[in-house]
Amino acid sequence: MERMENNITIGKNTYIEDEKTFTDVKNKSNITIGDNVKIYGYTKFHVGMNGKISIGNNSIIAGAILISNKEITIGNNVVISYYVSIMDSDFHSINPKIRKKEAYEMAPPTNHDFIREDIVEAKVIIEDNVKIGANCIILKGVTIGEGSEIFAGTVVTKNIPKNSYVEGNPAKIYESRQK
Amino acid sequence: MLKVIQLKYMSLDKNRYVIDDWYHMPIPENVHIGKETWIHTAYAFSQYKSKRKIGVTIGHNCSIKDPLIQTGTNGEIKIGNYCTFVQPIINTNKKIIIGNNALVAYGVIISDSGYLIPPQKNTRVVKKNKISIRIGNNVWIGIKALILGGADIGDNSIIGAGAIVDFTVPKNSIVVGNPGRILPQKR
Repeated sequence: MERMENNITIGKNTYIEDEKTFTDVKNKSNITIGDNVKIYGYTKFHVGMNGKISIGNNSIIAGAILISNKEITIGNNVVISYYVSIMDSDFHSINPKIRKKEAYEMAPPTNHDFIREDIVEAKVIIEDNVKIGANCIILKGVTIGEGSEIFAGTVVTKNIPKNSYVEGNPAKIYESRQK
Repeated sequence: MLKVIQLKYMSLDKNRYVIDDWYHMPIPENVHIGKETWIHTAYAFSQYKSKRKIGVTIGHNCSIKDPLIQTGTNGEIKIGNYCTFVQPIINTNKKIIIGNNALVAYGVIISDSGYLIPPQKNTRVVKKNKISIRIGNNVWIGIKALILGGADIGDNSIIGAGAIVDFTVPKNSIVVGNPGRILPQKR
């Protein structure tokens, strides 16, 4: 890759298909990507000022959207499919008055770097050997245990224990694969 | 003056490059595309690794906007006539058959498994190919639906937005939800 910023470190043999993957990364954020990782086209990193994303070795990310304002940790040998979105923050308040203020602040031509008030943020941890199917959504504060499989289209809002199989919306957790 | 140029046929030059394409790769030899069919860019075949004599056949008068067609070495895809797709991802190492007049909305995924990724190393070629997905004629598929391995969708069916289908759907039925279910019909 050409023109890599200082805050992005990339390991050996890591393949990044699309130039536009890192266009929405703020300067003070921190991204570390391990060895032999494959990041295919359509993948997008949206990382705020305090955001931090780390990806382990031998993982594959195909067309996912990672939005971070706190911390997203992805382990080794993780497979993430197309149109998955992972976010570690709600980004906006439940209070409509604060949201109205934010709307004015975010609108052009003002600066987009502002302090967000009254939001819920929590770390997202995806442990080793996890598989995440297409169209999944993973929300803030979730820990997905080692070896779990999240079937396509699942919306994950709660912690998932080791080696489980998750399916459906709302998500249902099973001990082993159903089909 | 601006000139608006309308092309009657998808214009491939002698070396099978799409004219005015941003992605500089030819369309592979074992891809057969019918008359007046549009595939807007050859980027569709960036992860296409089929080693079959005919890997992909697409009928005439289809419009397939910005697809990703990813196959392993055994992959085979047949698409009928008068189909419309918008940004589909089709991923297979088996056989996918799609009938005529399919209307497929934005971001639909048609794949052998839910954990689809671009094909990794695979050199095995099987002689006869198992059908993993079959879609009948006049099927309408809603936005961001997932059609996964084992799906057999009958003629004239409707798949709702975001539905997940990996089972047999009889003719003239409607499928919604995640996990998908067939709606009972009053007639």
